[in-house]
Amino acid sequence: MPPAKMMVWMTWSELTDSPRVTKEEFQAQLAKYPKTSILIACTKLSVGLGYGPDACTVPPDSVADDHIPIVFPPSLVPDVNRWFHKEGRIPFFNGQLRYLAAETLRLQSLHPVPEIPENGPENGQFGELLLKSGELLYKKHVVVEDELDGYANIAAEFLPIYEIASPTDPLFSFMRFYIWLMKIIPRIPTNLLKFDLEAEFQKVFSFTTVTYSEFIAAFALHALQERQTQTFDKPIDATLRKSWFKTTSIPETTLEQMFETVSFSLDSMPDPKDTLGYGDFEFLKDRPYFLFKDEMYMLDYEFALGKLESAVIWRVLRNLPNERKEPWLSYWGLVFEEYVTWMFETYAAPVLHKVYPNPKYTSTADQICDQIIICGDTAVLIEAKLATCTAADRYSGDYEKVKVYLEDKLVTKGAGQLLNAVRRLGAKGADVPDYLKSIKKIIPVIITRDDVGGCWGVNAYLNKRFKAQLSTKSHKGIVVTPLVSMNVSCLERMMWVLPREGLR
Amino acid sequence: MEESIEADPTLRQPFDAAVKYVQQGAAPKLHAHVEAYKELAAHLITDFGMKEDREKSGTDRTLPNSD
Repeated sequence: MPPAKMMVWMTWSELTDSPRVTKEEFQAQLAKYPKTSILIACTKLSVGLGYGPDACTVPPDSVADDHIPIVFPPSLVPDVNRWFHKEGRIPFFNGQLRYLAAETLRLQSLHPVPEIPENGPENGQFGELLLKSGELLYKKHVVVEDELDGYANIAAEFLPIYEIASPTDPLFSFMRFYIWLMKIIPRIPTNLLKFDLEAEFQKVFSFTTVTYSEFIAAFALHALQERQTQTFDKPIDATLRKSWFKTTSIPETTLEQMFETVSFSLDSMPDPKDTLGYGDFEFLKDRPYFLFKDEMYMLDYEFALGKLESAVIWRVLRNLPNERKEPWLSYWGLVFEEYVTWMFETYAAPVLHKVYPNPKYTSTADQICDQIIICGDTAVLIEAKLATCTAADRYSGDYEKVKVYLEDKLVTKGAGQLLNAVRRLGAKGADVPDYLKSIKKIIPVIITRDDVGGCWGVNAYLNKRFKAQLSTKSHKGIVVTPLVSMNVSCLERMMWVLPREGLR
Repeated sequence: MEESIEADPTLRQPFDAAVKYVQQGAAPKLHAHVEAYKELAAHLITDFGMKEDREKSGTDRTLPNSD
């Protein structure tokens, strides 16, 4: 595959040679319009620009070319085209719409403008709103001298960007969680499962997890059809109506209940909160649909498909008493470990990979790590971590907060476990299982459910911490490679190669 | 993976960028995921009592890049 291409987006201040826009100025500009008009436009632009399917966060050039004369005034079109085609600056990306929707929702609830969608900005004004949104997705770079702090700083600054330009197809994130529900949880011995998942879910939602999954899939199907059937010469509708379900036997009250769980309406909005950082779209993740006059508008395809996971894990978590929150997350940690095992068992060629889930030393019940994959004389030691990074840390842009998170969730519990394993395997004691006695190389790997494991800077940070504590004397005769960190999406996108190549 | 590790021992980049086998977008050849998706689509049709129109759109859809 070609190397990742880094691109810089276009900003309004550079395009128009004007001062950098402030958040307050932007809010004042948005306040002139009905919120409804901007939110519906976000949905339509998301469909028009094709965001979501196949991890599309930036439209193809031809689609961008079609939209430039529509969303910019004629006087600016030549400049936009020059910046786009000559300077390589991208005019449109998904993050703009997220920010525009989020800022619209952060406007005061006592909005002075009547909610008449037709009174919104003219088409030719949306380019300005999009570029200003992109411009506000910004935090000034902080220079950090220490190398380790520098890596944490890279992670802190780039984590919101990594999310905005996610390389993961949202449909696969959805299917991952569906597989957890349908295939992974049933594989786990019931004595290890400390919760009755359905009971907990139905304390919060009046559906089974199966029905909820099917609704999320059906809504996504509608969004896919909108994108697939859209042609440039037709107005974009993008409205999810109850009538779309007219060929089903779903009662209208059930549909309304379901709409209510995934959407918000302007008259039921909580007071706007201060943002945790420019990448903070937590409200939209929890309520990715805008409900207006009994019709729904999908504001973000990725968030909409992530709604299954966010409902099952996070909404239920919020409903649990404090003493049961940590066990609830441990439950999902166990599910995640089992999923990683299942992935290798299902996709990796058995002749090339011998999979040892939950491997233990022979003389004790001590776990070596979460999984070991033996490829020839190489042992891949895996730690699979849920590694949830709170919104307050992940959007803070503060390297000190991210450093504390990395130390707590991935160094102590991940790299530390791998370090112990390397030392004990390297010591070649009597308690090392036979299948590990003749290995010549160890690859330590951390796989996270959270995106963070694949973000810039994180691997360097973890590897530096790992290597600093590893003495070459502790593994004489065994090569130990640098530690590798990835997120589960990377693992899924890499799996296609394992039927024919060894993981080494 | 080994070559990538040797080429960039600090691994500042995301794993995606460091390894040539990991591509952006739909994960290819995840046959069990595709099967699960087909099962979901079939259950959806049954459980929602979908009639012809929706059946057609529901079953035609396959995961992208799933060959």
